[in-house]
Amino acid sequence: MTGKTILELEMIKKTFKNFCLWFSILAVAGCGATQFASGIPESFAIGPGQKIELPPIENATGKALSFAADQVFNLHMSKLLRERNLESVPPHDTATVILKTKLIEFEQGDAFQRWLLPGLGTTVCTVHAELLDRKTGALIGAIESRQTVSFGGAYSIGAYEYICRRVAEELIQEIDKKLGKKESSG
Amino acid sequence: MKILAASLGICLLSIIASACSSQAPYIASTYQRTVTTVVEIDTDVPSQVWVADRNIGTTPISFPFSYQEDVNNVVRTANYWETNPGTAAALSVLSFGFYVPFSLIPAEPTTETRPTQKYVGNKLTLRLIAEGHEPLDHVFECTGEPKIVLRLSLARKEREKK
Repeated sequence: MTGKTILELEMIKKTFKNFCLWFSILAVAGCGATQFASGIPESFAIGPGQKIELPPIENATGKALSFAADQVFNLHMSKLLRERNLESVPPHDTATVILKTKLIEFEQGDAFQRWLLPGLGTTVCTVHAELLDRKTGALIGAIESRQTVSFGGAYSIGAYEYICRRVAEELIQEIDKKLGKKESSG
Repeated sequence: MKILAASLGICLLSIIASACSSQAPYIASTYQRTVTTVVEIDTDVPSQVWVADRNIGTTPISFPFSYQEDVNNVVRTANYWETNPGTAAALSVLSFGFYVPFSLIPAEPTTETRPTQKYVGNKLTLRLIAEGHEPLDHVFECTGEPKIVLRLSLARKEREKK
């Protein structure tokens, strides 16, 4: 074998090792994408003591859900608001804002299909959220979050569940930005 | 090196071919989003403004009016080159081109929301009442405007004219 051929073989070996490593990481961790858009004005702020009313998420996918994604979202969103002392309880006297959410896209997906071919069996969850003034019903701003898991193997099993929680976390991160702004700016 | 170069070549070809391999978009669902228009009303005489049997104040007045707009959720199945080009390229190179033919299969759903400009509950009926003037009913439809300014005048009652 010539020196050039040995070099080529070494390079192929190295590339193959890298591929195996990279592929294993992806197969274990799962690979997805996030699309996020927020239309909440900069001037909006949630002051101390103000609460958010969270009506149950509406299924606007146009079909019956194969998994109770709406319930997972509701429970997690409610928990996240409670952790921040923002959750309003009936009769919602202290609530100044309504967080109206709609599940506009949900695909349960399939981990085996994702393992076979990236993109196939993709798990998708899209939520459209609106912040409304509780007194006037006026729209303050809208947020849209889309999460996907399109690649991965056995460890992406159950993605349809954690993806709903991820969407809720992304929405609350946007609300977090609006907390206590009045005190800091004043 | 030759194999890597060949893989890269195939990658480029597949990117070009990907444009032809995605499916036609279709409307998967329609949902409603809230739209708010600020209505500003001014009259020649101070008048009480009634909306749906509720007095909301006296002119000049400004208030938000919310209604719904239908939005189509348009889904298109695309291939991995379109949704995750970086991952698709990496997979193609690392698999020495073996992945390329599979990567052209449109498998991943992509979505786009398209407002239809079809509104629901966008009709607003106002009743303006001022002493010594005929009540004025004014009906109008909002179609997504951020603000509507109305300048209205009320007719004097016949008795008052005399």
